[in-house]
Amino acid sequence: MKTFLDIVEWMERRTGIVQGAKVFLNERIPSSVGWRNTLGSLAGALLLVQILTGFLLALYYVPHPDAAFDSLEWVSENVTLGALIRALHYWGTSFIIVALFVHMVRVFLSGAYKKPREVNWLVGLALFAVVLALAFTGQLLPFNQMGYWAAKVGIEMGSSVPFIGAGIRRLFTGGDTVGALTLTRFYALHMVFLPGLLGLLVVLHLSLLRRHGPVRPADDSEGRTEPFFPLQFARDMVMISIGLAALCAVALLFKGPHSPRLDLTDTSYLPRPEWYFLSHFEILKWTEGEAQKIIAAFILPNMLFLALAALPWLDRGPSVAVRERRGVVVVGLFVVASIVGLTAFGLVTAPEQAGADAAVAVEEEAGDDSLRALLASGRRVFRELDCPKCHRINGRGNTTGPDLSGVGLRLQEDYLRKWLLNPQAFVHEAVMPPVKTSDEKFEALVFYLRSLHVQPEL
Amino acid sequence: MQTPMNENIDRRRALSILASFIAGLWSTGAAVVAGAFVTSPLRRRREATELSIGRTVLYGDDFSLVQLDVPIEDGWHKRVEHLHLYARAIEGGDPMVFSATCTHLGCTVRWNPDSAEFECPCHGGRFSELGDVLSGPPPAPLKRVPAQVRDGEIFVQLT
Repeated sequence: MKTFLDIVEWMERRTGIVQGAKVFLNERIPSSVGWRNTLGSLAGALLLVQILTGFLLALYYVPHPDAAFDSLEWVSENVTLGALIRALHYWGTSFIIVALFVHMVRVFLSGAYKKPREVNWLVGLALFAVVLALAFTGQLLPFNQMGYWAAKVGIEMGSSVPFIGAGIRRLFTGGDTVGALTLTRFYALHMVFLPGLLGLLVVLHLSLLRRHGPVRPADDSEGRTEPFFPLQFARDMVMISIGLAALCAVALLFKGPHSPRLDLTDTSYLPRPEWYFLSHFEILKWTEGEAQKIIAAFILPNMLFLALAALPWLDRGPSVAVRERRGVVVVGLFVVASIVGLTAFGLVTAPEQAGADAAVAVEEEAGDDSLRALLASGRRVFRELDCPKCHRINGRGNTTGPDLSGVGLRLQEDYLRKWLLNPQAFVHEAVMPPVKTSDEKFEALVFYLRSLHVQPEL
Repeated sequence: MQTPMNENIDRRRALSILASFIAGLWSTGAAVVAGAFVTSPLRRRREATELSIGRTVLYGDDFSLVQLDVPIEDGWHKRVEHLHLYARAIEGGDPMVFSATCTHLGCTVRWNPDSAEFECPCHGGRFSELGDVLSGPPPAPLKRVPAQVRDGEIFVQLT
C-alpha cells in the first residue's frame, strides 16, 4: 500500500493528474440542475459502448460485398458473446439517438443555448449530425437488405439537389451505384473519419460546458451551488445505469440486426428506414412530383437544421424561463411533437416485412379458402422434403442451391414441374434429388413455388 | 451524538463510495464482456481432420507424391489448401507418410528413387528415406504425418 501511494505521489509531482481530477470533480454547479442534467452523461456513456463494441466488431469485419455479411454472421455464430456484441452495437445507436434527442429538448427548454453558450449549442447540433451520419454509414456495413436500401435511398435523396445532384451521388457511391466502392467509402467514414470528428466535438462540448457551467434553472431563486462530486456524479451514475441496463435487456431480448442477406432479385423486400429516420420517410410519402421531392428530401431537413442552428439568435431575450419565451417554446414543442408523431405513425402503419414468406400476400389476395389451404400445404411440403436445407426463400434457408425467392416469376410452370421431377434431365451434374412424393403434395408444392413472386402491395 | 455537519459528511462519503462502486461495476462488466470476446480464439482449437489418400494398393515401396486438397475454414473464409505429401506402403508394414515441405525454407522436396533420398531443389538439403537430415541446411527432419490403414484405405491425420 505504501509503495502504491509512493507511486501516486511520484506521478502527481510530475503530472498533477490527481489535482486535475479533483478540480474536475469539485467543480461547483448549481444545486438545482439535478436529474435534468444527466442525459448528456448517458449519451456519453452510450458512445463509449459504441466505441468499444465497434472496435470489437472491427476485429472480424470485412468491407467487401461478398464477405461483409458472412464475416458478421460468423461473429454471431462462432465468437464468444459475438451475437451480444453485435446486438449492443446495433441497438446502441437507437439508445444514443433517444438520449441525444431528449437531451436536446431539455437544453432547449432550459434555454441553455442562450448567450454565452451559443457555440456549445452549435457543437451539440454538430454532434447530433455526426451521430446520424454514423448511424447511416454503419447501416450499410453488414451489406444486408436494409442497409443496402437505406444507403441507396439516402444517396438518392442527396442526388435530388438541383444541378449538383448527380455529382453528389457519384461522390457518395464512389461509382455508378451502391456497391463495393460505396461499402469501402462508408467503412472509412464510419470507422475513421466520423469517430475522430465525434471525439473532437465531444472534447469541445465538454470544455465549453466547463467554461460556462450548466445553466441555472429559471425556477432556482436560491442560487446555491455544490461540487459536481459526489451528488451529481451519483445521479449521472444512476441515469447511466438505467440506460445501460435497458440497452443490455433490449440487446439480449431482440438480438442484433435481423435483415436478410442482400438479394436484389427479391422483389418482395420492402425497403424501410430505421425508426429514427421514419419521420422524414413519412413526409416523403406524402409528396408528389419533382419539386415536392426536392423540398421534402433536401430542403426541409436542412431548413430544420438551420433553424435549430439559428435558435440562439432567434430567441435573444435574456430570460431562460419558459413562461417568458412562450412563442419559441410553443414552436419548438410543435416541431418535437411532429417528429415524435410522425415516427409513431410510421411505426404503427409499418407493413409486415414479407420476410420468411412472400406467399403471404397471395394468401390474403386469394380469399378463396381452398387456394389458401393449397398454399399452406405446399409450404408444408417444401419443409417436409427438406428443401430449405439447400434453398433459400427471402432470407430463410441455406444457399447451397439457388435462391428461390421470386422463382414463380422466373420459371415457367411446365419447366418447373419437369425440373422438380428430374433435375438431372436438364443439368447432368445437378446435385438436387428428384422430388418423390404423392401427386397431391406435388401439386401443392408447384402451386406454392409458383406463388413466390407476388410483390406485396406497397 | 452526531451534529448535522457530521451527518452531511457521512452522507457525502457513503454517496461517493456508492457512485464509484457503480462506475466500477459497469467498467468491470464491460471489461469482462470485451475480454471474453477478444480471447475467443484461445478457446477455438482447430479440429484434427482425417483425410483419405486412397487405397494401399496404389502405393508401393517407392514414395509417391500426393497432392491433397484440404478444406480450410479460416473464420468466415472457406478455402481449399493444396498439401503435398510423400507416401509409401511397404507390404505388411505401416504406411509411411511425410510432408513434402522442406524444413529449411519451405520448398517442396523431391524423391530420388535411385539414391533413395529426398532432395530439396532450393538449397540442396538431403533427407533419408526415414526423413532424417543427411546433409545441407535443413534444421529438422521431414515432418511425419500420422497415417493408418482401415479397410485397405490409407487415412492421414492433419492437425
